[in-house]
Amino acid sequence: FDHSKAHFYRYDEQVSLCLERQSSSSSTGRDKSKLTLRQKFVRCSARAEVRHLRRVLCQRLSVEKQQVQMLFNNESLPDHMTMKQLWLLHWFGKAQPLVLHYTIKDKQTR
Amino acid sequence: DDEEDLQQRGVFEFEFSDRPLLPCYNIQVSLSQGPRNWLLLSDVLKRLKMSARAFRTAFAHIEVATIAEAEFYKQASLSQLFSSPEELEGFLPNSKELLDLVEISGELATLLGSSVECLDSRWEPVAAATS
Repeated sequence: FDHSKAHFYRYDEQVSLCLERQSSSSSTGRDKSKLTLRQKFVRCSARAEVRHLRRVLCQRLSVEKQQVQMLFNNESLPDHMTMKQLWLLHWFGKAQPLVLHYTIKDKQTR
Repeated sequence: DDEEDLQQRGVFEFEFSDRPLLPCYNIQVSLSQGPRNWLLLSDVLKRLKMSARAFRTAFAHIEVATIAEAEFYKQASLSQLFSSPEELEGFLPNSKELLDLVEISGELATLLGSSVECLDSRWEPVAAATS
């Protein structure tokens, strides 16, 4: 039995997420669509952390990390919380996907 | 292969889709390897609107693994992520029927219309130090 690859993230349990944008009323229509994920259903390792998710959103939406905030029930999520912790804390007993929200802050107002 | 291993070791993969993702099961199908992530072939065929025969012909290189439904249920139901009663309600805990599984891969994700974003887990501190 080969254990050498057992720690790879790709073999972890995967979580299924739905990332919804919580938009501010000040965003214009064009900004809204540019800063909203076209593919909002996401699957990743249960060991991925909120900070990884934020980083990936930055890549996808071409914004800076400081602009992206991850929320659950309107509360900001700590960067080092894993998807597994998040699931057990807030989604245990519920069906997939876990619904999270994100906000994109205006770059100029940081 | 070693190079591929090196690339995959510290990499988080995020699969993005505009449609709800097919259920993924972390299952050990053989004693010679640890748990891997699998989709039900029947789910894949439904999404691709393909017959099993057409799939196996077109993608002969994609391995299809087989597991008894009872064993599949036993393993899947141990997961804390499948805690909702409706997730596994279509499966029979004592069935001897066989289920066909296909392992998640970049190729399969692309076939299903997803795109994959990769992130080196060490990227964050490296990026922070250089910014």
